[in-house]
Amino acid sequence: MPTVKVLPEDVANRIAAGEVVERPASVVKELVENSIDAGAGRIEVNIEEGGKKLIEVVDDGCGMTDQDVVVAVQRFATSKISTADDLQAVVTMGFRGEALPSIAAVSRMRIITRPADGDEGYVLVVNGGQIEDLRAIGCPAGTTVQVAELFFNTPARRKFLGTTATERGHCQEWVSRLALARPDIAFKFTHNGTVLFTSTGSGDLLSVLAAIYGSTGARQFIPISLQARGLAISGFISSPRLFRSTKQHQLFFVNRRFVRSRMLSHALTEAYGMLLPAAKNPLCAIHIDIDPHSVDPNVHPTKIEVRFRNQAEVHNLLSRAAAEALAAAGYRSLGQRPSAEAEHPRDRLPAGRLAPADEEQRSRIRRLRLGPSRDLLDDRQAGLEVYQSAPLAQEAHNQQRLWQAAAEGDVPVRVLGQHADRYIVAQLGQQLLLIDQHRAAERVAYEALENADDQVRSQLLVVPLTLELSATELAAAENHQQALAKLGFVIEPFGGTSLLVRAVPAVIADRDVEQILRGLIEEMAQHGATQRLDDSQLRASIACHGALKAGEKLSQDEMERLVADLLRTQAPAVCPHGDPVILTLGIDYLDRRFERR
Amino acid sequence: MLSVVCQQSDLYEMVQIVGRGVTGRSSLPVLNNIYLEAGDDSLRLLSTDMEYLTIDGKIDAQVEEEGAITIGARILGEVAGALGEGDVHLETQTSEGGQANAVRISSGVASYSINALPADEFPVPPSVEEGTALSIPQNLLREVIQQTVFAASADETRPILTGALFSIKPEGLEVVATDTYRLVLRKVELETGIAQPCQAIVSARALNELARVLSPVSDEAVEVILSERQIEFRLPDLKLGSRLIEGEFPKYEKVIPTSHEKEILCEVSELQTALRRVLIVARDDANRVVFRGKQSQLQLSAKSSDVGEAGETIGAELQGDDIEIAFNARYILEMLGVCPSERVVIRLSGPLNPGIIVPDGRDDYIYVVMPMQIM
Ligand SMILES: Nc1ncnc2c1ncn2[C@@H]1O[C@H](COP(=O)(O)OP(=O)(O)OP(=O)(O)O)[C@@H](O)[C@H]1O
Ligand SMILES: [Mg+2]
Repeated sequence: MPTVKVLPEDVANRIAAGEVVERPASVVKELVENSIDAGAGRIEVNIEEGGKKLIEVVDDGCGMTDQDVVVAVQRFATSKISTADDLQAVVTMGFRGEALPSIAAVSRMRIITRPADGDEGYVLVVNGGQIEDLRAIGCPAGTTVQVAELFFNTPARRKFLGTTATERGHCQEWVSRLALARPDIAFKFTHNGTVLFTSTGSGDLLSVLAAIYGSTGARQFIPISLQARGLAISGFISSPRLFRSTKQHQLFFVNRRFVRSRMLSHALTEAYGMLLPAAKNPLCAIHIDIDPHSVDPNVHPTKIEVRFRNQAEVHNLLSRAAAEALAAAGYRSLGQRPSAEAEHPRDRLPAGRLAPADEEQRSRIRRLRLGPSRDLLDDRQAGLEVYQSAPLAQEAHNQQRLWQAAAEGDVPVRVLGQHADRYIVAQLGQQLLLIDQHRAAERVAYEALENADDQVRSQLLVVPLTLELSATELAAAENHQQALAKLGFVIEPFGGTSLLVRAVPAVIADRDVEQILRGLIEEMAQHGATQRLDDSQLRASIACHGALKAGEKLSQDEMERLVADLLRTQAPAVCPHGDPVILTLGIDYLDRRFERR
Repeated sequence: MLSVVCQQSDLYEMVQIVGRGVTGRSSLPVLNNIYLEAGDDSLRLLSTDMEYLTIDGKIDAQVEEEGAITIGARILGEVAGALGEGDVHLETQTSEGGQANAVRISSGVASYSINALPADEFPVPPSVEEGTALSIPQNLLREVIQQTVFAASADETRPILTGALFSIKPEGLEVVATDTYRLVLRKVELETGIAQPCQAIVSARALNELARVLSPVSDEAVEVILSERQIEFRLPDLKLGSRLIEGEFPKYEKVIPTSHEKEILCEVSELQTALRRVLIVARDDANRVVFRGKQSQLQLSAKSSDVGEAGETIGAELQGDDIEIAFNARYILEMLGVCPSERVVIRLSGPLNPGIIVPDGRDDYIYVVMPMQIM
């Protein structure tokens, strides 16, 4: 019988090492972090073909001697910590001594370096981890690391790299993050020789935000700052008018290191309370400076997660700081949004999200396209535990027939009214129907779009719309240009991180097209490089965004039209995301509740 | 303590106008009220949403005691409307603690005591500090507003487009509105007497309210005062103020095409009726109507897989080759509805190029509308 053993530390580290290099962007991150640790004031990142062909990082930092450079490409060689005690208070970006060797093992690497006080520079050539050459060379002080043909010796991993646009986007995303982490360092990022991003190194965080989001975007940020209990919070948060449907743009830096933290995101969102629409997230670039002993950065191999000694206290302080910043800018939250934990997990899907990533939901959508087969009904019952009994499956089948009869006018439907500007109350035979108007409209719009297929109407714009996007989003938009065009969005990259929109789907012309398109692109970006969104997922998303919203008052005519349209759809009772549209209260049920029977 | 006597008809008329400034959506309850102030042989009525609309009116009154109070706009309107013609007496009533908490409104045998809120709770916005001034006849301003604001956007997420651009130049005024799908430009030649051109984006909502109170016939002047953050339109007894919308308006000069290849000249009323008929079917296809210019005819048609087809042909004078292009019929109809001439010229180049519609024989009104495309 095997027994659980604690792994010796070196073995554990080696396991983690494999995770350091995932894609060109991880190389960019590691190399730039080394440059930062080397005290660089200027860092230049040049990549070719999305970094798949070449990644070059040039710095003016302390450089290395010929002995140092040879040691540097060997595993666990680090100049930064030497004892376990040091690990308790890491102040440098790197501390494991495994980035360079890990990268060197899967690429053709060349390090050109000269210490500021050395008379001679050196070039070290490493191929697939093997040192092949070391010779003296004339070069400026500082270090240049070139990484060519990443994964040339691990074809399986090379195959999983995304398109050039995608990889370029990820690289740029990291450069932006690092530039935000260190506004005091001047960054420059080029792709195939074109400059895509620069920061001045003036130390001004807002100017870096402007370089990323454009000056109009940056104007939507408000400053945040707080100092208490050995902790300093500073940076910028978005005004409630600027928001996104994902948390991608919440950038937190703990002791100048980019981190992801659900706790910090939660604290921030809480401060906005009802200031933001449901399921929308604020943006931010927040620095938290704290005694290094109070954080443990070593919880994840890519060092991207942190844990604070006192999570609750940090949460409260950040929330308070954000609320104060909002109040100072004239925004006062009137109430708390229900916290994510309290919500039903399904409700947590932001309105208008694409099919969620999990396979179960996606297959449900796929099935929806095929119409109301038995399969679908059974699937729904499996999803909703309460309906699991066999007689109910039969009932659902009968219900489907009843919808059809109603659609054909054999059974009259009477719209009784609207409740809370959200639900349509109607009567069908012996049944009382409660219809979610937003989801109903979504269902109708979805099928209209699907039936229209190659007939999408696109309305051209007299004044093109410009969207400022993040690098990954821009890449996603470019990758999906064709798919977007099929939906009616004609887009065109506009240099930098802007996207020009020349036409929009006519069906949503009167809606908030910018948010709809942004939502789509964010979803595309999240789905990553390898996974393409299929048409039906995109259509579902547009249908949802374009559909009328909960909270709109409807006239009797509008309600009747909507209900009639809904009943004519393939699966009136389920919206394209798989959520219920109609709640049916049968007369039996009512009688039972009133204890008549 | 306010105490005044005024004419029922004056009061009712002014409450109707000022009451339009109350949205009922305000988070500050006192903003659902109208502010009343007696003094200077007049009764001042004012409403504001502290955002895009402040309406400040004055009616003749005998002032028995000067003072101010605020009272619910809706109830004041109903009461003023229900009273018979003649004198109306308004008077503040105080609680035991000396707080003004009601207004007594009486006329003839009728008498009300309506709950009120003290005037010091009401944020009376300061009148516009002096700025660029311009004067324009009422009827002309009304026409200009009606011919432009319909093209502004209703989408509040893009505030700039929910307003109309007022561009004041030494030789006149240009008003522009766009919702990105179409753009309208109206030029007015005017002695502005200003040296430096300036621009301001004015809320379409405020302009619509202004157009309602402007006379369609009188050419009495409206004073327009433009400061850095606000604009105020002044009539003898009424001031309408609005905070300017901040931001940069799209560069409109660049999007107005300067050349075209084809022209269609037709009757406004004929085109209107035909479009309305075709729209019954087009409605199901995102209002898409195909315009086909051929010889001396303009064919309009729509098609929907759900409903069926519709078509109509009207007489037209054509220049250039035959053409086929699709527009959202609603955009065309909205322009025709305010078109100041009996015939229009539609200038076109290609099915994906902007269409330009101008009233026949005038060069002070230009409507640019983008076509629809099938993907
Ligand atoms: N740009 C550079 N300038 C100067 N020295 C460098 C540079 N890059 C790497 N080094 C040296 O090489 C060593 C190894 O770098 P490597 O990135 O592998 O490890 P690390 O940064 O110490 O830890 P981590 O694996 O966490 O990044 C560093 O400790 C540093 O001494
Ligand atoms: Mg490192």
